Amino acid sequence: MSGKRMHIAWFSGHGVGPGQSTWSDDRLPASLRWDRPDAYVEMTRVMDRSGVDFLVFADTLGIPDLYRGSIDPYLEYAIAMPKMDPAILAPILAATTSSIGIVPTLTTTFYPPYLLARLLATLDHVTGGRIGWNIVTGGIERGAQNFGLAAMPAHDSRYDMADEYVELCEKLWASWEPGAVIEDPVTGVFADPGKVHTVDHAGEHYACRGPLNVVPSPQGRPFLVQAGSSPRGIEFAGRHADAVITNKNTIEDMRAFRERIRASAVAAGREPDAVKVFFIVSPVLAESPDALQVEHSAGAPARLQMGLAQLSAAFGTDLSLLPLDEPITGHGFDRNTIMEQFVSDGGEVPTLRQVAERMGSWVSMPFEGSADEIADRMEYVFDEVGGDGFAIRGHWIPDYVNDICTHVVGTLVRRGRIARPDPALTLRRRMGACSGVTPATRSGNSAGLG
Amino acid sequence: MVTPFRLIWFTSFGARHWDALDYTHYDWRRPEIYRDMARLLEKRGGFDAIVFADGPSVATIDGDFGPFVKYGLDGVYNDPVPLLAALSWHTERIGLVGTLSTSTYPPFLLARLFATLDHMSSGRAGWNLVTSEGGPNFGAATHMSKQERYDRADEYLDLVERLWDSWEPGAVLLDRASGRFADPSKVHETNFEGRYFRSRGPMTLPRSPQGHPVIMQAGGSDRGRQFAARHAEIIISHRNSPEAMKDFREDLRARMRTMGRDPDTCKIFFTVRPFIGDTLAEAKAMRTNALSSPTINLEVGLAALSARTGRDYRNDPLDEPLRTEAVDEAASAGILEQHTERGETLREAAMSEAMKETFVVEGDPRQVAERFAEVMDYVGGDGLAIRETMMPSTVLPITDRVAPVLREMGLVRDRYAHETFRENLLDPAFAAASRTVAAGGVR
Repeated sequence: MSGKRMHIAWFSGHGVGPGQSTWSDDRLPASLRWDRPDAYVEMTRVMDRSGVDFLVFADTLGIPDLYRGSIDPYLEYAIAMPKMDPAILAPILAATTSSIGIVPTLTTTFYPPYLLARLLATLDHVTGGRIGWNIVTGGIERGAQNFGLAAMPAHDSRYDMADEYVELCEKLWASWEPGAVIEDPVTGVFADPGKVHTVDHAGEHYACRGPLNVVPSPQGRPFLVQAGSSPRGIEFAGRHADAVITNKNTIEDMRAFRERIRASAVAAGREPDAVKVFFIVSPVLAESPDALQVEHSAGAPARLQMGLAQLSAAFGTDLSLLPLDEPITGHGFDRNTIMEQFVSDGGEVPTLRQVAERMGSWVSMPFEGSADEIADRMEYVFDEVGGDGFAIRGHWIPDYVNDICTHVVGTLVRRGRIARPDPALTLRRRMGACSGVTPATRSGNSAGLG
Repeated sequence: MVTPFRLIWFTSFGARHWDALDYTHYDWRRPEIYRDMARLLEKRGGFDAIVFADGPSVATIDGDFGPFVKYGLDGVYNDPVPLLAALSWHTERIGLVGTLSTSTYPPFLLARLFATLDHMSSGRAGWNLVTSEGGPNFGAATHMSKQERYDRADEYLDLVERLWDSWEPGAVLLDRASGRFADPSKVHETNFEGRYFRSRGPMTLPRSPQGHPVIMQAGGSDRGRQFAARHAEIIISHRNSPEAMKDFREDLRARMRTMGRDPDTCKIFFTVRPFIGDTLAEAKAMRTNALSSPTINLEVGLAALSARTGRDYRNDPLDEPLRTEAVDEAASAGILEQHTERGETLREAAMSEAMKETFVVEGDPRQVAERFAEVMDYVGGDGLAIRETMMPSTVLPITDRVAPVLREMGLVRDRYAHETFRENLLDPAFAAASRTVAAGGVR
């Protein structure tokens, strides 16, 4: 064994729902229904045994309508939908696994903060300290309209609201002091009211009295995950996040991004190692043929439509209005992470058609080869970047999950680069223990972030 | 006695009874005890459902939460939703009902939550609809009137039902050959613009097995009864006597007929608190024992009564009849009625609140079963709700000693003929006796 321990997360970009590439994949047995828990349970159990630290479910609270201004293409081909409530799946996965962290995405714009703080505190009890929260501040306009809002609040003001939101949640999670619960059957005293406090939050965006009506949970507060890469997002992550998941294409970009996150943590008065940075990878095992080459049974025209619908949602604009066979430049998409990928691949700016046709099988950081080759590559990138781990984003089908967990994660466990799962650890402790950060430094310290 | 009846368990995911011996090897904060008990209620009890009461905040009297925190009482609850999800994995047929308020959940969030739970449980989700306010924990400075809460709830339910209906049956194609997941012509925008709520829709996931969760309600006031008569498929009520139960049931069924609704599409349950011993004397001793627990005391009872009525009773004379003036009408409907009906003093009412007591049935297993049957026969149906913490010492006497007697009498469910909660609940031939009667047999 050599070098620093590597963390592994699994990122389910489809959220709780199949997505186009899952339900139509022939490797998903038709008997495994996407709308029942069984397939999710089966895959999560494999991850749990292999040493994956946590599993993140993305989420969106609306069906996109950017392409041709209609939800129809999205419905027709299951693009960015369907989406079920990840907070419902989380306890089922916890009941059937023993050590993996479960991280649902919950959106600050849509949940009343007290409701969310209470939900997560309960989930922490129910999972035995294995719950995380992927903090998302926004989403598509359709989501806002489902909640009766005319539009999403602007990007930076969403983060201002989210700063206050997370601070309020942290106050609620700390509203029962450690030791407040006595449970003495002789005197009949359950808790010491002197150690339970109102939070009396009256901020710019939220008001809440408290205390929470849930007693302190195993982690005190859930493990906080974030994925924003904008300057405001990085500032937010430095203040609040325990882990950041991002998409970078080169070792230089990864290293630079990780340094920015660490600097942001330091600026917020935290240890640089307090925020773990995860880079998205999509490993392709050579032993498993064409693992990531999605074989759409649909013809090329359908594939183009799917790609355009997907890209429209990603860029937030209707691409049916743009010419298909001209290079996509001058539309302001150049800085989008997806475009960076395509441009840096070939040098030349591709046409819209080229990008759209490749969308169905597009992956970032495709590490290809045998399990040993992929493990070598991951170790190399990890050591060059300096930390902290990878988030695997691949096919959400049992066959693929089993291949990657058994062969790639298994190899890294055998080499001593990934820790063996330990059911005795909470997610927070599991993540802290590997880097030497005292796990308890922030628990019960609601306002000590600045 | 030929009136078959259903059983449900009415409980909470909370700290109450934290001092019970059952909790020396179980933790009330964790799912295991509920998992084990839910399996018993399903496999050996034939229960239709488990209902989790809930309130999102610690109760207070004049802003003081001290007594509630001190004894682990009203309001020290975990969120029941994650527990319902976990229980859906551990059980197969029993209905799973959560209490969620139309005043605290954004409608789209609630609609998606129940649709997901209904998918994941293969059609066993139920919603105990309450209108209680989130108050200062949700940033609200003022109270709504009861009328306004129900007006909002009417609109809320209309909206979430439209969201649940936004995908027609058959909208999902899952056609691997063409790559088509759904037929967009069968998915419709909601475009709801109400007085209180707006939502564009459609739902982000297909229609669930039951379409809508089973709707449960506990309205006690006139406005609440109107609401329940219109919308509820399960009504739960606390009444002190079989006469009061019968009156309540007949009132609700008459309201349904007036609205043009078939009253048999709604099942009315009355809460009971059983004490089951080997003998009647032992059952009575159990109740006395329960009353002498250090967590069942006057301080607790006065706090509970005050919180539930919105009137501070802590300085009233204990041994005089309960006073009813200056009670917050919105908070207290039906609660005081229970105590004044029995002519209770404040002390008696407080101790009853401390016990969370309801209609008491005590005796040996056969006596309890026979009393259940007698009450249901008199009331006319439809079911009893055991109001009790869910733990081995309360569940096992019911599932293993009382339920077998009732089954032998042919009065309760002896099988689940259907997959979904609603189908089982509304099945007229759910019990052996009703199947015999339906077949023209003589008992």
